[in-house]
Amino acid sequence: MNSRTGTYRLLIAAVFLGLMLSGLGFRLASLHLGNHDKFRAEIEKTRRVEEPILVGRGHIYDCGGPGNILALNLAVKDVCADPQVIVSNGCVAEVATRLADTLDLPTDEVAVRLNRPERRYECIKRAVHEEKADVVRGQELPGVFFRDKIVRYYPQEDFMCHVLGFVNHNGTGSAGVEQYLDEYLRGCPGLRLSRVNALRQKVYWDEERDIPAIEGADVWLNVDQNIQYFVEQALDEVMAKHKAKGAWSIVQCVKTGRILAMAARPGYDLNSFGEVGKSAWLNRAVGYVYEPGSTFKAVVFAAALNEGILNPNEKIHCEHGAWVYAKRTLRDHHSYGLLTAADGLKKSSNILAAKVALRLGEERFYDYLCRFNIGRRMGVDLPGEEAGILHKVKDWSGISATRIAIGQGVAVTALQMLGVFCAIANDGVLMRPYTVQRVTDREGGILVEPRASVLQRPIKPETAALMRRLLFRVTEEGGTGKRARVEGYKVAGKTGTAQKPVNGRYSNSAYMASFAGFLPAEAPRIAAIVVVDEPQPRHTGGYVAGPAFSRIAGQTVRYLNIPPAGYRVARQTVNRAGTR
Amino acid sequence: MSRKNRRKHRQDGIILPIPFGGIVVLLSSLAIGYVWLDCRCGAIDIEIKQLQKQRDALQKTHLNEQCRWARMKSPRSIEAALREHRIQMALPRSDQIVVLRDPAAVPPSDREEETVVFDGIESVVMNE
Repeated sequence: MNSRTGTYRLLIAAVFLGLMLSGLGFRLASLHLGNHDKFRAEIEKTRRVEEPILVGRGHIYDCGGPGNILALNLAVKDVCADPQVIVSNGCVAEVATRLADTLDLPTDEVAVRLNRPERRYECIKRAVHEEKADVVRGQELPGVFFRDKIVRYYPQEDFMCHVLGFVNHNGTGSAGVEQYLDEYLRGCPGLRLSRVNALRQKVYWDEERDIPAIEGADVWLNVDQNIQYFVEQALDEVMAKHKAKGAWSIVQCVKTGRILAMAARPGYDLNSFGEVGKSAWLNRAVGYVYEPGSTFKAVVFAAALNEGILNPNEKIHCEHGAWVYAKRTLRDHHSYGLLTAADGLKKSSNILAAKVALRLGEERFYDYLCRFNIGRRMGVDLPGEEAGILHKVKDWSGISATRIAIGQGVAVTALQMLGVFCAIANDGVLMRPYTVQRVTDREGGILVEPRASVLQRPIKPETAALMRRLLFRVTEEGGTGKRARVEGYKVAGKTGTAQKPVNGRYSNSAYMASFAGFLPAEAPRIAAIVVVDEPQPRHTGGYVAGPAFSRIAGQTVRYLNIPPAGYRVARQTVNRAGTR
Repeated sequence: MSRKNRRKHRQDGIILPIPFGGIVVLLSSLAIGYVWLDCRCGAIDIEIKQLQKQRDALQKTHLNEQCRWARMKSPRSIEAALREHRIQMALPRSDQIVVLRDPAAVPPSDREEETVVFDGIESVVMNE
């Protein structure tokens, strides 16, 4: 190869290289300077980061303050195991015993789950608290490890279960306050739009947009955990003593309609809501309708007195225990001749109540039932409230008025029945019951603050005062509700013993026993109702529900420092949100 | 003569012109500044992440403590603690309570009983 050929080749290579570099340069210049939106968008897309800002669900507190947390989001751990490692170490029995002891599980069950050498993963217990998890960690068991998790946690387990409700596995409130105020409690997740550089490092000074998250709001209830505890204890005692199928109770402030306690049995552990049948989730206090029996006589008496067609001292014949009307016989449990209207209520005479209803007339009676909100929802701030059953007058048979007067052929919820007694206690003003005191954001700003609101004014204040005196006689000596008395206080109320309708007939063995009342009778502050489903063997409201009412009401008035009428509390040391 | 001048000219060429030197110093300063800022940003990034972790851990601890406190002061726990220490508490009986009649308030019951007395049998068998 001569020098000329070499020069020639070198020239060609240089030209070729020059063309290549020029092409690349041209392409580079074209990419940078040209209008290549598509490429820019693609690059931009890879550099943009959308980061969700997650929020925690709000807390639920009782009326006592921020220390009384009833529901919160909690960091817990799932205790897991690697059975293969445990089996290969030959320590199945030891690990099973230690885990079972610490986590309160049956040893044999844990041992069976660990003795599976073919498996690499076994969840021993879900949602274990940090303290317990630390104990397990301290034991340094081979093959045992933990997984972090955030769960909705209810520190007091089954306490107040029907009021609080629970959050399902998708994070949605599915019962109680959790469901009713889900949109406030759950908050709203935010979004941070930022950019990263070529090394995927976040470019802090170039944040484009930041949509702030709205933390879940906190809910403060009117329910007081101490009063709730009195109620739940009393219900547990009733369930055990009377072998009842169920029991429920509500305590309400008569002036405002605030629910101070609401409980039902059977209950369930909110942290393991899936382990019980769905029937246990039902809040019977608002979602179960029953025929109220004699407690309903308060409605017909209040209506007749309000219309001025009944005098408490008026004597009415009680037909010696059996009265045939429209070819149907109505019976009293005890035979009475002439009774005053006042005594008719005190002795709970069915015949007397039926005669009062007939005197009132169907239309007027129905009108009063509507005024007492029978057959309509009370509008409580809880899901699942039932309206009860009240047929229109055109659908009534000839004896309907006489049967509705004694609490048959009409179905109510405990909340509606309590509403009747609250209206009587509150000078004839029926208040809307409510459980939520306020909803606040994380900074303490109030988002929702329900106020006491009037639902109806079914009777005049004078009638209400008269009814209070008549109902007080029910708990006097000789009345059906003397077991509902509270030492040192005058209690007004009414017992109810209703046969349950079974297969279209009234059962002779299944009863609903109830007591609804308020105290102090002279200047009522709180009202309560206790309903017991199928108590055995005694089944009367006075015997079964009366003592439970007495226990609940007695403890509540002491706790709330409510003095008997005409007395005052010398020194008030406790300030409760309930009734002051 | 001309040779001498040429040497002198060469010696002058070694010394950087002042504007060029200024640019070099400026660029060097900028480069050093950039590197320092980059390092600083990296360090702050790490610090932020650590603080975020710390905050999360503290929040977790705070929640756990709140939960423990709520459990401890629940009526059920208090009663269990009382039982454990064999402390029995009961509400005082009515004979143990000193009540002060409020001179300003007449009990409504007294007022009512003055005006309304119901007729009726005081003691009959309960309707149960």
